Amino acid sequence: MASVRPLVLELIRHTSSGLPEDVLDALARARDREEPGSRAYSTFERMIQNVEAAREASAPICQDTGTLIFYVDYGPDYSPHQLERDIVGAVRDATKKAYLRPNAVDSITGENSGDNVGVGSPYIHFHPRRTKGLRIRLMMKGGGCENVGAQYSLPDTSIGAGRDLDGVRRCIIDAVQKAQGYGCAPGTIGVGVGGDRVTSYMESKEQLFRRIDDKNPDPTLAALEEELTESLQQLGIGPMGFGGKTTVLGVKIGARHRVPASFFVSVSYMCWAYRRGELEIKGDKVYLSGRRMIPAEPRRRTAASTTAARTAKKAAARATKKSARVGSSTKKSKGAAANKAKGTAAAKKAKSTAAAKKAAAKSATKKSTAAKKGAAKTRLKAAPIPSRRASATKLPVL
Amino acid sequence: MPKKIELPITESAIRELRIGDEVEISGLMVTGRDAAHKHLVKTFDETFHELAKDRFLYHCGPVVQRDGSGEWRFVAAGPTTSIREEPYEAEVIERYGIRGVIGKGGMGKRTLDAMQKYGCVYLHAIGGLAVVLAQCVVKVHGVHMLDPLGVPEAMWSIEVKDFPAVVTMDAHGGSLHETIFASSREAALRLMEKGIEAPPRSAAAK
Ligand code: SF4
Repeated sequence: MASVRPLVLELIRHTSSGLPEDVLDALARARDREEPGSRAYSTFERMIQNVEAAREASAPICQDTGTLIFYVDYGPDYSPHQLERDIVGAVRDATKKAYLRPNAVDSITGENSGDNVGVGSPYIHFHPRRTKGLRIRLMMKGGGCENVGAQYSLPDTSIGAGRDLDGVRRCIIDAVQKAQGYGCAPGTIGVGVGGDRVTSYMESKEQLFRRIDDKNPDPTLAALEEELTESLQQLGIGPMGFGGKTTVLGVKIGARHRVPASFFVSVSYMCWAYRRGELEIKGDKVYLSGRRMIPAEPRRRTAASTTAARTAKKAAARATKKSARVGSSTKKSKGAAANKAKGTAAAKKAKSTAAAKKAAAKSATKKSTAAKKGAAKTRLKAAPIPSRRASATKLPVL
Repeated sequence: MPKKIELPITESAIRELRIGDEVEISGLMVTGRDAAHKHLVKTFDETFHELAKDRFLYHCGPVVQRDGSGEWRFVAAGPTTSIREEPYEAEVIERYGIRGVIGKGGMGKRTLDAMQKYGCVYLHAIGGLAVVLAQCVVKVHGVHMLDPLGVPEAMWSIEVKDFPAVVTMDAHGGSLHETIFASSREAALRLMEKGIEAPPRSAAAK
């Protein structure tokens, strides 16, 4: 496999200097709900302006570029070891180019590693899959909003929360009210119900990879999400806690099985600077947050579009099968299937316009790819991952 | 519509501001965060007094670049969390005659009392607005104590133009943070009481 380091660097740049469309839409809708001329209106207006200015300058939208959270789904044609090296290398490159602020501080000595690489940083989850290809999702989670997250152990008498859905709802309301504007409101609320302390929080973070405008496939949770997204606005916290009609942009809830003795509800707060991006490699096509990247770095010589479509179809079928098999992961697989379907449509659309360019570019890129492969290999050797000071058993294997 | 504020500003003009007022600030002000605050209460710093009297103190750890001609430029200039300076701020306001503190998240009771007593306000900047706020910093006039404190902690004298903020603590003891906390708590309790219909999932009750 070719090094994906330059592609991951581009993923980081893209994610750090802008917001996903669904988030921008939600911010624009929030602005339009306010009276023009009010402080809430102009606060939203400035947030949107800031995103535009950042895009133009390729600069981080917020100086806190956050914790880097990568989720990697890799096919049999990729090696997780090399992917890890590529991702870590790309993080170093991105810090050098000031797409990222140096954000990895040694908790014991207080020393900043200077390149965002350290023990447990960046934070990468690997999921092997059977279909070829690669998907890397990235979330940049700001520190301010991470600080207002909360975990509840039910029952919690202080808020009258029992071990049922009503208790879960009370936890969410309580957490959002206590967060006020401190996490740079309006927030998108990721909730994990069940699991243990670790997996419960993990579920709450994974929920934040969903689009704001999607629908939870579980009808009970979908209803709760919808109800809370509406009723939490009554808190009136507004952007930055200045007061206003929008306190949250969305609520996303996932549930996991738990042991009978525990009942955790974990709430992760994502600030308005909700940075997430996705890199997908299908055949020789590369997509960045759903858009075809041109020029792509072709990895294979096969007639790409048909292969990509076939792979996508197969993947979709597999995802559906999997969702039937594993009840708890239904939503993720379904979401993946939907994404794949979208990808297919996009691939088809891109086909006609890109065909001419591709043909021209192909012969040129083929040679340079080989050269790049060699270069990448030598670069990789020069950029080792720091030795994990803690023993492997001490690191949470997520 | 935002009120325009020109620095320096008088005590009576500051007392005209009320919580919830939207403002746009222009003129010279100075940055300072943890290390600067510790230093400012330990000694009386003449230079800082000159830079900050009747002006605003901005809780900001900027990202700064120096171009070829030696000019400093702010690349990112978002606010940092103010509550960390709570142990020092009341004294800094009293000693140095500061008329405004800019930051995010608001501050505590001691600072609020000092603001009422000496005529000062808290101005909340918008968090995450790195690029827009850096563009508001039109000129870096100088830097104080860069050597011992380092770039983010040093006191930067900067000229801003139309820097946006909202008054969330005023010189009359008012705090928007307290008001909104109280009203949102009430609303939260109401929402909790309203409840939802019994969960249709049998598993939830186990
Ligand atoms: S909470 Fe988000 S927007 Fe606010 S400072 Fe942190 S990263 Fe930036």
